[in-house]
Amino acid sequence: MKLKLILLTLLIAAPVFAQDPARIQMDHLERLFPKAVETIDVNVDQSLIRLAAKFLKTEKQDEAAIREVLNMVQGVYVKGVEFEQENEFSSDDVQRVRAQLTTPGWSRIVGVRSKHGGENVEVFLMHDSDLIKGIGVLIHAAKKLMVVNVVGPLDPEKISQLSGRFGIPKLDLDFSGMSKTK
Amino acid sequence: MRSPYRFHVMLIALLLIPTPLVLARGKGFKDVVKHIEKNYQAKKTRVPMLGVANFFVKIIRPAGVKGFKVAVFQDQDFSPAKDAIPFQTAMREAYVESKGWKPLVQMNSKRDGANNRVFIMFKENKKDVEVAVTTLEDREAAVIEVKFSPDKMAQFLDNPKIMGISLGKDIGKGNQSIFAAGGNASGVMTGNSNNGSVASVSRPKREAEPVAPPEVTILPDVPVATENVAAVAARPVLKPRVVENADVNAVTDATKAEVNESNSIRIETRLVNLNVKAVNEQGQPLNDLKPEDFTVIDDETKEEIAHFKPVTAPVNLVVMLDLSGSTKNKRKPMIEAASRFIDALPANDRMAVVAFTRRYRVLSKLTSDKTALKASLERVKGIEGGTAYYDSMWKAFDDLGQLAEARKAIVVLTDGEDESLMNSSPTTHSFDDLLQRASEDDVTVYPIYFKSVSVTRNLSWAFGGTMNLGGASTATTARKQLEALAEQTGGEIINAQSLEMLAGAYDKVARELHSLYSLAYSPDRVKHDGSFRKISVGVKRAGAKAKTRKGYFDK
Repeated sequence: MKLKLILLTLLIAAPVFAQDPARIQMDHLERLFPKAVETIDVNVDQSLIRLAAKFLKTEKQDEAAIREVLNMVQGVYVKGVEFEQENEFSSDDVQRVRAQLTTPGWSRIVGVRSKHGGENVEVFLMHDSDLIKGIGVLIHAAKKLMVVNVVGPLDPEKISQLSGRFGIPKLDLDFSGMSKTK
Repeated sequence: MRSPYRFHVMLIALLLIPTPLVLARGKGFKDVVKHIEKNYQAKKTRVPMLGVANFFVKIIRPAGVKGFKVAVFQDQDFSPAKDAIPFQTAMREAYVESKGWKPLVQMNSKRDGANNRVFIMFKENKKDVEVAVTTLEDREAAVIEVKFSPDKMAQFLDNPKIMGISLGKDIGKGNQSIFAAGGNASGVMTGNSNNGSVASVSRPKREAEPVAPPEVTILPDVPVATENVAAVAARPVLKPRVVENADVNAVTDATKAEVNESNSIRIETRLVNLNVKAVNEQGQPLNDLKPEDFTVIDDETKEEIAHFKPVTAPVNLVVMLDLSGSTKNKRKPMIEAASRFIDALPANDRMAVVAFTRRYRVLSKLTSDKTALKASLERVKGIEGGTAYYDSMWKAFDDLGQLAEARKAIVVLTDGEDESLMNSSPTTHSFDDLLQRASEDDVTVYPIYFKSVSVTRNLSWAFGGTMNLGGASTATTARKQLEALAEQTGGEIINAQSLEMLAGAYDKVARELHSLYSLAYSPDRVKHDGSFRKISVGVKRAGAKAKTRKGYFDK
């Protein structure tokens, strides 16, 4: 009886623990908030994105395109801190994020290291054949740490249709390497 | 004797004891307001007609809004030092997840001694949505909770009507939704680096609603030139002159001559004017220097000083007041600050007072009459509107450019948030234009930085306004732009987050203005290729330093 009860509890709790692999855990950064001069914590989940999509009209081609993309997005999450002094966060804080982004499924597509501001920007994608399941951006400098996570699925072709519109720069994105099976 | 019901009574008592504690939480707006009142010993500011407005909103439901609650606290101490528990915890206890509330945005800025905190919570309730926004600054706080129907709001944006009366405009088109067409759909601030540090937003030249043309200039009705003829002849000239039938041999090395078809000679002389502050090793101003005490290097070439004015020469100062909505809560300290600037004005200096929103209004022309200047501050009442900060600054540069005298300065009391930063409103002049202009004019700019987090802006973001995350990005950009403008012109930015921070600022700027020398020189090797030429001014005294603008564009 007791075993059944435990199993039932675990079964009910399972969805709580089931984590979308494209969702980056960054809660540990919250402990840095009290010392930081600037903090940002954004949690836009699916319900709010759906809400935003309601304001876009399907009959307008431009808005319909972005609505289509939004309807696929599961969430946008940002956590960022900026300090007045250096060494307020440890390499472990960065590593705990990077470790998740180096697990199977994720691939690093951009890595920029700026000598000017000492800022490092890394962009990671998690993709499953023809769909992007998640985007992770890790920005860190001596006094700054920020993580941006977009949870998909996102269709690269649909995203590329948005390039050059809505103020998004024209990127000439080439997704031939992960194109859909025709 | 032991009661047989003792166990049951204890059980019921145990169940009831935590009840008040549980009920004390999760009441959202009420709990947050109560927390602010208790934790900061604060009292709500009365908002006139709020009850009536709420009543009508509940009946009419404009734009799908079904109700709202607002509590505003002003001129009280909300510093985090007074927090018995972190405010974030108080928010989460008030807006509990079990009731469907989710934290959407949480921001905190302690930069420059300020303490600005923003919390936005979000809840879906069947077909309705509730958004709660709480903002706390050092001296102000606001709590807003709004319930609306997203479907009805979408319909309203498509066809704006209230009680069947059409508002006649497709608001949806103009609405810069975070995801909507025309907005910043990427969710990332678009910008480009300017001088390595300033993010600026590219924008189209003004096409839509134009800023109303300036009404008047700051120039007095009487002729402004008070210098004698010799002085006027020696005045630095920044623009090309055409001299008919001039003797070509008279053209100096510092001039560029060409003979045109009408047999006139175009002599192009460039004189670069500088306001220079000199300090000793301890940072004290050096006020007894002569021309020979200075060295001027222009793009690695040593230049000869052609014109010089000592620190005692009068100053023409324009005090500009940003009376836009974003500084509304700072109106009182702003007027107080302007008044103190008038008090600190030395007798020989002249001051003009300008108020700007989307319009540039001269409240007082250049004068030394302190009574008239103070009286002009009374005229700010009722002035309110958007912010054409760049265009207004441009107009002030135009006005000062017409003055023959050197030693010109602008003190601008603002948050620096041009409308174009928030909603991509087109401007006649971009910040890049303004910065370049500042590098060419001999006007020193002292921004007095008033920052006020706009609750309505935060709320508009939550409803799909601009993706500037509660104005933090806008504020950061604006602040950097003010810093860049001050640095470019040899001025200094002064924080005015609180009245305490303003203390001494008036005398400081007045002292600064009277520690400025005016130098002018004709650069030797002008190329007119638009390149940036660095200027370096030195002082021939041990440990002394000079501060001036960084350079100019060689056009």
